[in-house]
Amino acid sequence: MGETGDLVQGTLDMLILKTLARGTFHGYAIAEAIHESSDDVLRVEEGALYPALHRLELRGLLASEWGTSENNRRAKYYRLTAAGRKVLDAELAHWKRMVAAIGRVIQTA
Amino acid sequence: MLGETLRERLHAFWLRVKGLAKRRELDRDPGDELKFHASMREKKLTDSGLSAEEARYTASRGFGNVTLIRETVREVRGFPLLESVAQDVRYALRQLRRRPGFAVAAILTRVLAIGVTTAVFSLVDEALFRPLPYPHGDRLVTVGTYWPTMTSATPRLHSNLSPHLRPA
Repeated sequence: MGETGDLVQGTLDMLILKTLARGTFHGYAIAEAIHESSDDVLRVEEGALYPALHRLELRGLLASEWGTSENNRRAKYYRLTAAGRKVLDAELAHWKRMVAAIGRVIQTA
Repeated sequence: MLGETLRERLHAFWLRVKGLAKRRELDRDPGDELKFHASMREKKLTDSGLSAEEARYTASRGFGNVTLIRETVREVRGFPLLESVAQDVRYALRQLRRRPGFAVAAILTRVLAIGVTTAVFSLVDEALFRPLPYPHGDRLVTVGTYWPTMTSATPRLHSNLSPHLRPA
């Protein structure tokens, strides 16, 4: 999935939620946003992205709606729900704790 | 995967129920979503200088996943187990309708088999497994005599010989 490694499912979910915290996007835009924000390191393939989006929607963390895109094509737009926002905050906090902890272990080597 | 709460699970269940009704849409939607994705990718590639043909080829590489994604979506909506069972039942009914003779034979065989088995079991159940319909049925015994030299197993009742009691 990524150029330099694979993202665990939960991490991809978190990145999707974080991207949608900035607005409503369709699937392609989400993939592009992740790709750009990560300075081209992370590339999300459709095979991973769309199942993740559908699963998040199933859990009520996202809501979707069909609309028309910039070039007049039919596209499905996703937005964050209130529940999604709460889960995002929890996951970000968890991630930061994990990263800090792992960082400490690495440094004491 | 992110942790799931009860609320999320209820929401998921509700969406699955709704998904049962909108099955056809849900089958079509992932294809449309992916087509859009591919078209956007194609556009980006042509913008960055690739020829139209190459762009379309590269963009449609992601298309191989359509079936996989459609299946994932189907798993996520509706009740895949139930739907799979329903599909098998429908198939079986179609096949039976096509060979009515075979259908009749198969059904009759099963009906007879089940009927006979049930009848025999009911009899056996009443006669042997349950206590006899007398008061204190479990205390009924047959009284008989044990002749060591006799080969027959049927006990006889004799008053001047010590009886061995056998439960009924």
